[in-house]
Amino acid sequence: MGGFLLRKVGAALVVIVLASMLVFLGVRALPGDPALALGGEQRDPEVLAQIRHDYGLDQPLPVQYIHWVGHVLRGDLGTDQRKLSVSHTIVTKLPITLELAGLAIVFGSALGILAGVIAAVRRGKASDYAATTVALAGLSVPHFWLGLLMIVLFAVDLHWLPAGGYVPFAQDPLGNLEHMVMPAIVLGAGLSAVVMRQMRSAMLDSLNADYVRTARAKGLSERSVVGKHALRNSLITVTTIIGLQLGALISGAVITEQIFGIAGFGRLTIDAVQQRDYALIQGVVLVVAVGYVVVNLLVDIAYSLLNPRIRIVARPS
Amino acid sequence: MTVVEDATDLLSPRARRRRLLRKRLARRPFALLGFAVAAIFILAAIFAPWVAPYSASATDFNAVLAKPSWDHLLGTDELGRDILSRIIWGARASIQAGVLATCLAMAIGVPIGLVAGYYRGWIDPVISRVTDVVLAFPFLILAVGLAAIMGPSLLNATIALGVGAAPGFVRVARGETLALREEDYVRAAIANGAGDTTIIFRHIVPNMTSTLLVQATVTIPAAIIGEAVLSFLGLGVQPPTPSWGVMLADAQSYLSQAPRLAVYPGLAIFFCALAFNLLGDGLRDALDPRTTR
Amino acid sequence: MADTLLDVRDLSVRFETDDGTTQAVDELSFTLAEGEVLGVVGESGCGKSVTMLSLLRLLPPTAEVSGSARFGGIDLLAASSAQLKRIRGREISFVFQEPMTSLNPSFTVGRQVAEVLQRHLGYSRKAAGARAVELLDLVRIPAPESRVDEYPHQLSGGMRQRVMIAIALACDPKILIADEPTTALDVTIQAGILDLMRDIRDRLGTAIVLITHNLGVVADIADRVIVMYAGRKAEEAPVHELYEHPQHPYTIGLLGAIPRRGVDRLQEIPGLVPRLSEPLPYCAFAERCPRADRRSRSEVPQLREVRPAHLVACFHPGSE
Repeated sequence: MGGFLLRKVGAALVVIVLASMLVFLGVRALPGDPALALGGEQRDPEVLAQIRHDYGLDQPLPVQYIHWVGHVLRGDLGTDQRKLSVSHTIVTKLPITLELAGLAIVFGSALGILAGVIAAVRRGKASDYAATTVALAGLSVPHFWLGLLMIVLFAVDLHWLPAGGYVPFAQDPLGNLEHMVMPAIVLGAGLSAVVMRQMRSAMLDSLNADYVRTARAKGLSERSVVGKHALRNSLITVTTIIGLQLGALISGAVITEQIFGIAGFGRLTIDAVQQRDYALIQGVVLVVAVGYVVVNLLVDIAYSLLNPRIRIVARPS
Repeated sequence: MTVVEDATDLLSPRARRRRLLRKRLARRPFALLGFAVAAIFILAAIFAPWVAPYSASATDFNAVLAKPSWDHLLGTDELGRDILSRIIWGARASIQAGVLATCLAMAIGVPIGLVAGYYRGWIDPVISRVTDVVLAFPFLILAVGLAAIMGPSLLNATIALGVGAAPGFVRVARGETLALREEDYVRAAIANGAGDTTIIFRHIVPNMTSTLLVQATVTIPAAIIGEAVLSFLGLGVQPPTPSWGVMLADAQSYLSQAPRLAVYPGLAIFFCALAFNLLGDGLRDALDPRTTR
Repeated sequence: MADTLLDVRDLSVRFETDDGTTQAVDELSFTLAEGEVLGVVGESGCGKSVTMLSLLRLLPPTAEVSGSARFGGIDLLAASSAQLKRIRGREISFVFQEPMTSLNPSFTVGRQVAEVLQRHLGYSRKAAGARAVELLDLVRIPAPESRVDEYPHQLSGGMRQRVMIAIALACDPKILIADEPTTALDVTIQAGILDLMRDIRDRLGTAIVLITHNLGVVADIADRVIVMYAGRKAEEAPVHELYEHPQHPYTIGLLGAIPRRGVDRLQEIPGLVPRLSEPLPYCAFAERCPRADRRSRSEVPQLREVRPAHLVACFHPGSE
């Protein structure tokens, strides 16, 4: 297990480094002179040259990169246009989006797995067609539209839930959940559709496998056969799928926050780009890339925990 | 003496497969429905100038936020523009973005996947790593970045969507190539001294078209929705050009007064995407050797 | 004379698929006595596996089964789901042909053995685990205490097959049905598995149904043999009787095809096993039979006792 883990972590690190370079170069490619942005109203070339020197902008790119990496590793992502620490801003906003994403994943996976199992077990019958169609519809719905409609229905018409905004959990747990319910459902709906279809497909494969026939020959209850033997092997496939959907989840979070007026990490990203706040953009995109790679790594590890064939290299016997 | 049973026996294997595919598709009403609806949308987009009752920017300040009537079948928006017409005109932007982005994704993704799967060696892991890195940036961030660099526009949105969808095609093309190169006829061709280009273009590519087709039919709706998202955020089509996403963005301010401004464009996106998804699903099912019908 | 454990009468199995119907088994009857080893022999496609799978209702839903199979006072083919689940794995066990895919790759072999003990005999998790080690020892797996925590992919084919046998024996069943238990294994491993089966018969007194296309295996271990062809019983006799005085031309053909010292050419039986969509109204072997005549091609031969305890379904029986 150790060797396997090391290889995976190593690969992840490589990807992170490459991604950071991409971020670094990408931001440098943006139009506009950073010195102007940093200098505010200054137009005097000498002052600008001084600013450039201060910020190390006159150094060759690789040197700048190393400096930047050095700062990053110390937790310093620079300051944004309003002279606020980028790291601080990110650290305050990130948990909000993480909560949203976490709830969405829990909701989406649970619904998707349940629906997928039911559809597979009742293959060909009415509930299968119904579930599959709903899943397909779920894939076709632009979920931000779903969000708008839900706001109209639940907030404007029925006044059951607030139309937007955010309340920290520590401050008011119930209020926090009230604000999070609709966004989490909206965000998780797309995920549940994908998960459902994959789960159904994986379960159908499992249910046809020889080992399921063996399980039946052992006289095990149907619940044991489906819920224990078939399900276990299907979950393995589905875990990878959930991991792959995380990118879509992040994109989704951005829009969901926009609609529901949640000042989270997603909103931060859009604002940063629209305001051409380079330091902020850089920090944000880097965090996203790193976070994504880390999560993928975790998914890989989870997969190997579930699938003993990967974890244990077969002994020759 | 063998008797020819019917004309199918005389067809080449590929033609026989195509006929079988058509038969199996015909048995799937949902797929056909999807095909029909998708065709309607596409035709509406192409023939918009003739089909739409009004032009997309024709304002009428006497009929602002009007309810549906015979004059305006779906009502009007906050500037008195006919919603139905805007939806029809909007189909242009959305479907254009969807189809072109998918084509771009194919043009980028398939050759890369082919190379990775065919030559393997050192280039395969490199390509896989790079694909992972690209995937590390959710397409939205990419689009946002592109919009920031080059300014928001439909073209840039399309490019961003295409680049974002390319890894999907890289994966599919690579997978298919890996499988196809083990086929007997490919090995026979290699044993007969055929060059790489011949093998790739004559044996491998034609046999992956069906899988690529399935991937395309499910990428298009994702791209359509993607365009809507980008336009909604102001990163794609710029007003006053209509697109379904722009209409939804405008609708936000009038949610309580006239929710229909949000409902109709959303329904358009939904039905269009659903149509393509049904078609793609049916195609995938019909091509799957495991299903017996 | 031992008691009859299993009494199968007029068992028929049809498969209805979109591709067409197949008659896999046609009105087959046989019995199995306590402690007996019955060999069921025939080429691939003759219906031997399907017959046994149908007894425990382990066939896919496209199968239509008719007839009766009396076991322990109930008819297996008409039993309720609950009754069936009590019998499977506990009174009648099945060992499948493919050890590679018949074990769940995600659970340790120990857990898979323990599962039946917990389910049928009410063992606690710990007690079941301990008993699993004993069972692995019984089937002659070396170092069972460490093997018990391993996963199927860590074991060789022969050992996986032994694990399957251990699972089948765990609840001390009355009948063990082994479907081609040695076919997927190397010849050298085969002998070990057969030894094991002999041991089981001697020590535990379990009745065994051994399905195989390999006549050599059957000679080794069976008491009685049924030869099947195209879903019907062609011949049935005690083992020595069958080998010394085979009556059905098909059996003779099969025996001729066994490699033997001193014999240069293997005798082939020309032609292929038919795939039937309807039961044939005449002798199924007629197309390939050197003794076939007009009667063979117009009537179904019925089983007749031509020698003591020796049944044949043929119009022209007799050793050459």
